[in-house]
Amino acid sequence: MNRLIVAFLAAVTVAGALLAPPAVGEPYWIAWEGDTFPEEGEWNRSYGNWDGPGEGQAYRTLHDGVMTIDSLHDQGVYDYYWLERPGAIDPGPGETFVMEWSLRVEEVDPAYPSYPYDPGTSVQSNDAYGLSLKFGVDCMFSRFENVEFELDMTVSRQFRVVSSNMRTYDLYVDSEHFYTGSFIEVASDSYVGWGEGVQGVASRHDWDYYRMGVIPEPAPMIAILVLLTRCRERHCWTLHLGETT
Amino acid sequence: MRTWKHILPLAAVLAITVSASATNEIRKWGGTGDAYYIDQEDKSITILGPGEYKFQATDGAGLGQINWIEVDAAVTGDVIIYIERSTDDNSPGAANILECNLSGDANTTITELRITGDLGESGPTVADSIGVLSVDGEVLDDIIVAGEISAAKIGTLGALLECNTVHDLHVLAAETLSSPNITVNGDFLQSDQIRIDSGTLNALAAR
Repeated sequence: MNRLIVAFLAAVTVAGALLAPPAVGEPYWIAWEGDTFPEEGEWNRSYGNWDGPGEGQAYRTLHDGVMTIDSLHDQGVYDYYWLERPGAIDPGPGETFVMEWSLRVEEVDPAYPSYPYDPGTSVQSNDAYGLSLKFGVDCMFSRFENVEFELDMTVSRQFRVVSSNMRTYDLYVDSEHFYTGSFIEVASDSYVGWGEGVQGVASRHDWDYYRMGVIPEPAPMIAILVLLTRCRERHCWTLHLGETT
Repeated sequence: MRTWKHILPLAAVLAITVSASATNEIRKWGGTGDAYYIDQEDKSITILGPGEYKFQATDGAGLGQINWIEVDAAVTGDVIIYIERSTDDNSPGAANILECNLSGDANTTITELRITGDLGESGPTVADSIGVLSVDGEVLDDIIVAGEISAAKIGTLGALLECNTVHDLHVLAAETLSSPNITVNGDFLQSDQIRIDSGTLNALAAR
């Protein structure tokens, strides 16, 4: 009996350690690679329709590492993934926030033509600055900034958002720099979401991967690599000298 | 070793159970208006056509958050908004609303806005008129109403409340602001009641 209690307390302690949020600015990396449905990993799934939460959902398939989300049967359906990291989204000094995903939009069926966007992703920083990108068949909309871009989304595209301060960001599309924008103060929680989050618009689209996290800034990494290379060169040179003497 | 075999799976189950958060959901539960969309991911409501709309936000069994409510700039006619619980008349329909800016060409009425938390963390509350406003928490940004407020009960007034007429205003606590915190632009009727339980009323500009 005592062993059971000890085992339970130990389990609670380990669970607590697993759940403990990381320190602010501590690097982290959360990656969904299309091997399983996102909710089988770190992501929470939220779905429903006009009748309420859990009442309807998108048709989802996983094939060759690509998840297809199809809500064309019901414009009221939403089906998206999210996670909260209270106070633990932002990069610290010398670090960079990165969010990257691959998306193809095959079809969008809006109830109202003024809003032809359905799949998307959004992030809210530790102090309520947000970025929300929504996608149509031939366009991308930065919702908080209220800026629209023409972009052919019928082919699979790779997106990468990079920010060192959660105030401005650089967006790369297919490895090319596409836009420099601003986070807008809109909401209050440290949050990341992606998928089909809009009721009133239906679509069919593919996600290949979704990754986000905080990594050391490239410059120090390069400096470290240079330093290591120099050390290695010096080491070889010393050995060489040693061999010759 | 044998003990750890039991501890680790149990710990994993506990961690998964505890970390399974409830989901914030916004839902239109009443009203004849049918031109709108809800972005559940961004916790927002956009009205695209005239009509009456009744919304609530839940988070599991409790109340949830609405980041913002807006009316599309192209909308004309009457837009009537309720934020109220579907299951119980006169009950709060959300915990917090970060912004409820209904400015635009439409004639906008917030018939009921009842929340348990704060209003206006991200931006102002704007409408042509308000029926009942009930904010248990704090008003963090300005409330600008072109016409009338029938009744308002505010936990803490931390920003400007401006309207043409207010018939029954009860502020439990008013923060001391550098600028006026209540402005009534129109006539102030004898039957009207304005009560401030605590705090300083900076100015009341009534004609």
